[in-house]
Amino acid sequence: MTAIVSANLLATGRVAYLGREGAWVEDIAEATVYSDAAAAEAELAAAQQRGGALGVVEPFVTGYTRADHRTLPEGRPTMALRDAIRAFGPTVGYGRRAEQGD
Amino acid sequence: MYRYDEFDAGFVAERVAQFTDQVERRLAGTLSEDQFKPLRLMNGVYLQLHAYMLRVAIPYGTLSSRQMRCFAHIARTYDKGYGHFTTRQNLQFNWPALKDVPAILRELAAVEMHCIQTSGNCIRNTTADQFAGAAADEIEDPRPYAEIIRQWSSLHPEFSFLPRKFKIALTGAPSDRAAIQVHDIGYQVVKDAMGEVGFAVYVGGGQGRTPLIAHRIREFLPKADLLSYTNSILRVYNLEGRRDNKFKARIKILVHEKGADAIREAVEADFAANHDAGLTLPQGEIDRITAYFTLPDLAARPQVSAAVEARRTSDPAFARFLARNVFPHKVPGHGVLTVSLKPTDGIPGDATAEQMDHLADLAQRYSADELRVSHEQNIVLPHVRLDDLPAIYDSLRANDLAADNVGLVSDIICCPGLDYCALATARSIPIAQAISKRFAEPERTAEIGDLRVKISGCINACGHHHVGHIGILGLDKAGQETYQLTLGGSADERCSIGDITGRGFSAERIVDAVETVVDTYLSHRTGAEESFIDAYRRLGMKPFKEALYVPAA
Ligand code: SF4
Repeated sequence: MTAIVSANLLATGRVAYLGREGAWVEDIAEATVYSDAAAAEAELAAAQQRGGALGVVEPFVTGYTRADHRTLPEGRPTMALRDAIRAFGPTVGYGRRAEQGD
Repeated sequence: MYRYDEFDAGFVAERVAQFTDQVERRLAGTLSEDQFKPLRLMNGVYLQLHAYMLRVAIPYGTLSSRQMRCFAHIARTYDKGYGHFTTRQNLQFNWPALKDVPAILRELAAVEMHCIQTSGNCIRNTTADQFAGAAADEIEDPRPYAEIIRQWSSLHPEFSFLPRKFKIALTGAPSDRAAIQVHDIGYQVVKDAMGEVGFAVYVGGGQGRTPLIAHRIREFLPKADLLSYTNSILRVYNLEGRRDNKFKARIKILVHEKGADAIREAVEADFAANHDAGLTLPQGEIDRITAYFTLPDLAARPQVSAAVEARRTSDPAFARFLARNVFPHKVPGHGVLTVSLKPTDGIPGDATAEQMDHLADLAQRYSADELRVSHEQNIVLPHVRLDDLPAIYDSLRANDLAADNVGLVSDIICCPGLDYCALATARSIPIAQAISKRFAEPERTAEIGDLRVKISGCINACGHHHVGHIGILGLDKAGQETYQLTLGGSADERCSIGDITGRGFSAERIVDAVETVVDTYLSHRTGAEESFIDAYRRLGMKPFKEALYVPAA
């Protein structure tokens, strides 16, 4: 299964993903999707090595396929519910979707 | 109300300055997360799924209008415009940025509040009956003693690194509204044969993965010995409590493994040996603290209010509100009013900044400037005149705060669950919302009567599911949210731990299961006067199980 690297931003605590050129992005759609968990782990290790994880806390790798987020929140995600809730916010309002007004 | 003395103000200011510096160093990268995490936790800052969470202590659940307005201001300025009142009489902000936390702590300190000891293996916020100092059935207000414990336990060097966290609860009335029997220590105000007032002492209760009911280890403790005895309990725990296994480190496990008699002996021996003058409370000091909690000057009024009676007969919704949300006050012509934070489809315990401001206004105008937070996640206006109830009710209605369901099936205790909490195994809020919608019909809920539903999103049991008449525990079974149902728990003076019905239910099925339980109760009860919990105690699990697990035809 393909995978992504996620974490929370140090300054705000908001959910973030490792995106293009080692930048941390808040929208899962902009996350870089790696071929598998091992590749994602390697990318995270490299980011940590070059100081690219100093602005985040508790980074981790989790399974994710690009098709997942289109099924949310109505459809049953193939990603873990926990990851889906992190990506899209609480299912009871106040999340990213609520902020974006949809 | 109690006001900070110079000592409190000093240590809070010092701590805020310290933490401000620590946050700056963390943001600048000179402190690592490993170094910083224990420091932020000591100041009530957790990292949850979406953001940091800041937990503010509301000592014994008492707060002033000014403090409530400060919460509203923080919610608006630094958060998403709301806050969450918890079962621990705390308030949680769900979205503060770490960089803003020092400013938030300064705002809180300005109204004499802080987040110290809302995390970590220390003595946590001391909780109390939300009706303390107001309820007609009370022997004596327990809050002065909660305050004495708070002062003594704040930054206590010997008890800052206990084997695990430690929770103390007090009640001043024979009806236990503070769930003292599921706390590490519970103190209940009692009168002895001579009419002297003191405490019955309960030790070793708790919920979480091993729910246990506290043992009454002493029938009567003189008030003067409150700290001395608490100290002895903590010393025995600190020495003998297990530190090898996090899940066995609470005092309840020690009491359970050694037996209540052995613990009583050890505590009494320590108490006898160390019963030194240092911790014996001088009457003058008790009086000084008690003076902060004197009942506001409420003149006795007619026991029956003509305004209330007129409205009651003409307005059934108001009549229901009176029946459920108003409790008898010590002073005739007054009432203790519970404002339910459980509207249909609402998030239990959540209040918007506007609602907080509104509640502060009502408290200022009608309740001697005082509010309370209950462990049931509702807000209390403790000192209202009966004559004012119609006006208060109308005002609450206009702000979506007039739910007339206190103690009913829709007055659900619910933890944040997987929608927010990093430890959760399943969501809890959507289940509470679905149940509240299923039981939205006020006549029907009133007909069902007293029924406490409590939901936790994991085994840590912040939602008190073990002591719900109906308890729901959200679990993760192979990636699917699954809900385990328990029946027959109770958090009051007849405390009991619920029994598991059998295999769990899916998110889709759990609300039907709750309804099946309710219908089974209704069809088996001897009459409306037999409450759910009484019926369950008479009937046992059998009829409920039969109704829940009908074999496939
Ligand atoms: S019971 Fe579990 S899910 Fe609920 S708030 Fe406590 S730790 Fe979080």
